[in-house]
Amino acid sequence: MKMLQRIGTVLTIVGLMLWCTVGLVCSVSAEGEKGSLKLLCRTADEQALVGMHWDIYAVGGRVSADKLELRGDFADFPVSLADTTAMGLSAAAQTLENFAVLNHITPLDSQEADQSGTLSFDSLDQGLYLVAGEMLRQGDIYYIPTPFLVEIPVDGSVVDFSAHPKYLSVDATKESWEYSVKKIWANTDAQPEEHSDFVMVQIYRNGILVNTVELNESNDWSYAWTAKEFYDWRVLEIKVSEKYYVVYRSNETQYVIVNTYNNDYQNEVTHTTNVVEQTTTTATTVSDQFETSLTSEGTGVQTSVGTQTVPSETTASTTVQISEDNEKLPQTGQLWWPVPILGTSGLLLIAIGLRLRTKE
Amino acid sequence: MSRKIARGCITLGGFLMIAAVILVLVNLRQDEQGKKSSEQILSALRQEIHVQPSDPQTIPVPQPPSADLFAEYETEEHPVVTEPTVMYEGREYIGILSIPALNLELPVLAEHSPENLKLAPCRYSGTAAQGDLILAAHNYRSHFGTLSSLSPDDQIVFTDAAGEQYAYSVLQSETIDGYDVNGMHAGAENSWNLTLFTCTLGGKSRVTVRAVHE
Repeated sequence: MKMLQRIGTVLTIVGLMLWCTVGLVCSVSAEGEKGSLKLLCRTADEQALVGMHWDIYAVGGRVSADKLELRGDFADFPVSLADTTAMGLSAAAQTLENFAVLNHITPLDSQEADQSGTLSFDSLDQGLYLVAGEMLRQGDIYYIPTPFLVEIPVDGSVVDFSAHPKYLSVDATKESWEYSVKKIWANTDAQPEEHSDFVMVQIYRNGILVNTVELNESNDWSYAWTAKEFYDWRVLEIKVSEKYYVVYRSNETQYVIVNTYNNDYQNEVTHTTNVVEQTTTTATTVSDQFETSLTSEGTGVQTSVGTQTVPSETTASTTVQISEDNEKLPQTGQLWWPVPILGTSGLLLIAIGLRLRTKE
Repeated sequence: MSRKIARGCITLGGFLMIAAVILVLVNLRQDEQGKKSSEQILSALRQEIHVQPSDPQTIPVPQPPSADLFAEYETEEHPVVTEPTVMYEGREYIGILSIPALNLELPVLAEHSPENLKLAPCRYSGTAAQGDLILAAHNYRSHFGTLSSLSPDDQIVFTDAAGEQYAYSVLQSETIDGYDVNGMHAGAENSWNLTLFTCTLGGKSRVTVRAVHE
């Protein structure tokens, strides 16, 4: 009897161990689910963009159901992922791509489009990815791909995605190009004293620093230059204030740097004075095709912010439209409400009439 | 005397009944016309709008920046998104709305007006790209008349004029007063990304469905 009990105990323990092991294996399998992303690189008239180079970067992940965060090489960039609208994520993608290229961050994977314009990134773990392509010349047209963000979801519901990237198309035969960069201060109405009097912006041509310019009130926070050929220009603001998020957006020839005040910022700001050496704006490392109109040299002194506590609750800007007193939502109803009234009244009157007639 | 009263009652009651029937017929006719016009416009738009293939799942990819990037920041704090549109018979359309749970597929006009609302649902405000699109439509059964029967998690798809698809799932339904314009806009982008509304049968309030990106 005791023997049987012992065998039973041993079998139970072995069974429990097997159950635990199987459970563990299943769990790892579920968590280890990989995703894939297929890109179909074609022009509007369905021409394959053969050889277009694309990089994918792991930039972050989901903290909660409604919050994304930057991680790894991208964790320290002053980029907000709070705006999860298509517009907000598009701006974040452009900004992160700018940082990735100018900081020479190594992509997770790189691929080139095949003869059908297709390429695929496989074995992607759960997380948020930046997908960025390089400019490609095909015939007389440059195709500039628009970067985008894609999330491999945590729940593993859908892990295989496809995307049709969008492109700016530029006439490569044009003989002269006018470029410009503009600085925008956003959401600073309540904190006008917070942003500095000037910013220093680096200008890169095909990834090489060719100029550093100062943008301030006197030049309307903008700077323009010309070139005889079309290049992959990029701009980078030096030392973005920690109280601001930054967004870089660009089209073929215009570059916008938007600094948005971070309403959540609350910190003791140390009293500092930063002296920023302004490099000569005459480009010594570029060819004669680069022309510039700003030729001054000098030293810029960044104004300091005294020790103070930035209030945590500030009035955020809003896009909600405020209605006029008498404004009304459009009338989208048919005239149904009189039907039961008319019908009931009619029936009632007929019933009364018939009753009176019967009495008669 | 009472015979005269009885006859009067029966006659008046008959008139009221006839008026009710006429009103029902007029409404049904408007409904039918709305359905026909929507179907006609829809078939024309389908030829213009080429939906991107969605196998296995197509990710909405952002459009390239606009031609004049600086202009977006000159008038408003937030960039203005220019949406692609399709012209048909002199009217501008921004895309196609599909609600599988109601078996509805409808064209969407760019601007709302009493005349436009008779043809198809109209944009009241916002854009799909910005995630604050609000669409209004008549409560015809062929338009938004059955909107209140939508349940949470029901799918809604808006395909813009460039073929970009935006998939939403229903969050909730609510009733908003006809004068509560701020209430209609409240929570745009943060709480919801798409709003559909139509009149209640009484016409004083609006049946409103909020949906979020999937």
